[in-house]
Amino acid sequence: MATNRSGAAQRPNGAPQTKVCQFKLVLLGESAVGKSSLVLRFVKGQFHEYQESTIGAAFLTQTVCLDDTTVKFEIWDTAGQERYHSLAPMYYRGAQAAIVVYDITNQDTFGRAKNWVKELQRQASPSIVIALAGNKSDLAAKRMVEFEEAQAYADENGLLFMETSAKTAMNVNDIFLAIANKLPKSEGAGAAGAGGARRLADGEQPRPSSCCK
Amino acid sequence: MDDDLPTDFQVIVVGTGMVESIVAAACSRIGKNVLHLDLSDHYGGLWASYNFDGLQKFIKEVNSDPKRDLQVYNLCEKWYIEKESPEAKDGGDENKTDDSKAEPAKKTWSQSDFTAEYRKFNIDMTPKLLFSRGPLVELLISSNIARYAEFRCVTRVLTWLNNRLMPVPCSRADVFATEAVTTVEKRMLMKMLTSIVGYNEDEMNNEFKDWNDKTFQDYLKHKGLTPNLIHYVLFAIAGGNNNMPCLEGVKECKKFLMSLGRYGNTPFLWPMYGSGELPQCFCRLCAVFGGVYCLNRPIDKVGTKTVDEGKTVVTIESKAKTLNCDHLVIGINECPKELISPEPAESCDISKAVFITNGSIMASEKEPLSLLRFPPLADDDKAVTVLEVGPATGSCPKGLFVVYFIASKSKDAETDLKPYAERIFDMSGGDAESDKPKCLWSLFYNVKDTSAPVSSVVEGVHVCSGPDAGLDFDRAVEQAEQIFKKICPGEEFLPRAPDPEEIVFEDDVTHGPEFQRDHDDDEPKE
Repeated sequence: MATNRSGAAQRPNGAPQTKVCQFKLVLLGESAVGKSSLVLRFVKGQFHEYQESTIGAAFLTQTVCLDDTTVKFEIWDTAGQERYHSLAPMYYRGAQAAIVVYDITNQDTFGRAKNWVKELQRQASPSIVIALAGNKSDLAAKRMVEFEEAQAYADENGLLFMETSAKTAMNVNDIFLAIANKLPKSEGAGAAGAGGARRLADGEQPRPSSCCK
Repeated sequence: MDDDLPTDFQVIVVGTGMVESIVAAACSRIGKNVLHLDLSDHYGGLWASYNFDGLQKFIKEVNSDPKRDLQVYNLCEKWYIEKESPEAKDGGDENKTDDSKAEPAKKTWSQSDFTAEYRKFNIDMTPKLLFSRGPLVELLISSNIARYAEFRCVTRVLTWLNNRLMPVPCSRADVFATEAVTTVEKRMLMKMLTSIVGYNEDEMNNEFKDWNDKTFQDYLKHKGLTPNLIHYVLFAIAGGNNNMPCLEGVKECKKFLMSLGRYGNTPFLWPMYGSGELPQCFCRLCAVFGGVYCLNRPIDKVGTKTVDEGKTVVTIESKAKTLNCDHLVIGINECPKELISPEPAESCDISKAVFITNGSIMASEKEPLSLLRFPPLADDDKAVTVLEVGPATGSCPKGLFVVYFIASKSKDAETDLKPYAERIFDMSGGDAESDKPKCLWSLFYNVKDTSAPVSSVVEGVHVCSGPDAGLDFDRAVEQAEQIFKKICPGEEFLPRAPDPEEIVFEDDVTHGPEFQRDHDDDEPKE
């Protein structure tokens, strides 16, 4: 399948370097609602109908260019740990954004999505940007969750909301772009940790974890 | 809910402590089909960290556990502050704060403030540091698990000398900058430290062959070091005591010195949000490579059965289901006692304490992260390791510090550790001004030492030790590697996991329907 990235999600190719901010974004939602598919569509422009459970790749990056800022998403997939309700708290540590995904053809997954939102509101950083994605919008004929119901819930809870389709790419780039726009991009924002926390790297020199070059 | 849990695995790991989690990651990484369970609803077992609410639940659980199945006892929690803050007083304080921006008045904390901000606490049951060039840091980097975690450098090493806290000069620059020792002493110290770093294993054994039955202290005296220098080297750098054998002291010094200069001014790193994050990082890697996770999954019975061709598998009864595996890796606390052989030798339990205070034990310009190695105050005391972490580590709300005390047990945790705490905290609970930070809350407890390696009477069952009293994770890493080598002889221990860019590249080229997985490597159908 050909790579198909829309304008919103291109890598900065040779353009003069603007401010670069890196953000950790986590995906949440019931098994099989299409979390990995959304990311694969966004990062690689691909869709596989019979996507296996995510193996070996639960950590992808993609860049979104805004007017004056390049937003680099470090996207964390659940790696299946949500399956038996065993997601580790370290998963949402320091996450600046989350996409909570449900399947519009399955009412239960919407209920679970609400629980994930609650969990994030309880456990994650208070400033986290949360987006709700009603995925599989290409299957509208089998719809079980009304758009208006989800929109109302999102409004009440201050969430971004879109119905998406990883299959047709509908709203996939858009939802990441909307998140990128909503994230604070002030000086020091986007540093993986609150100033001074660091990742370990092979080199002796500290790897800059701050967003600003 | 977990009825659809698959039943057949190559490796089942029970318990999510440090050793278990590393083994789980290593097995999954090389393609073993792994199920990882925990009896409780959270990760880490005795290695866990808790928010304030979680900690209260843990305390309750321990107190309702007379059989000491949890391996924790003598638990004693105490508040030094009021239940509610007096409202009027708060208003007054706020005004004061506005006037003097440089030195805001200290907030008067109440118990209800702790309850309200419970999520901002991450309190470790097994707080430990990483040596910058120690085995765990090397493993995190070489396996690429490092990307799941963040760390902070310990900013200073302190000691208790002449009845007060003193910073220990760690680096060459520190040594020369310090005013605590004379120029002659500095040269002497540098000469000795440089020679210790220079020795390889053989040279070390050769140089110290006549010191086998002598203490490190004797050696330092022999080298002509002054009492102050001996104190720094013996207690603060080597983390020893008066009886520390010479060669052990030399090795500890070398370990300390070798880790200098990699990341910060001291040899140590502290994981953001606490040590309890680290097992979770290994679990994530295990999951990323297909490991199945299920918390809240008690096990009733472990047995064996013989299947076709005389092969024996380990069976686990859990929630009316039989789980089968070739290898069972199980934490010592979860392991049925009849499987353990022989009974672990009598060991010295651990005395621990956690304090929450309203300021650092030693003021500093930027938020400090401190290691204090307290030399024994009395002759028959043990040395006490103290770790002080602040809000920047994600351990507590702004304005507070969490301070951990760890020592080998003599009597009980409170008797062992309180005299040390009183040296550096104001534990009166009163309003009186003090130059020491006020202790707002404390928890003393003893932990059974389950760190001695034990084996199982059943083939295919591998028992993982619990936390030790040591400063670092080195023993856990070493044991995990040994267990892995038994399960997967000849296989590489945690080879580097690919970076996201590498995965994207590979898949872009092949356009295969599968994602990073070969057909002959299929997971069991669920």
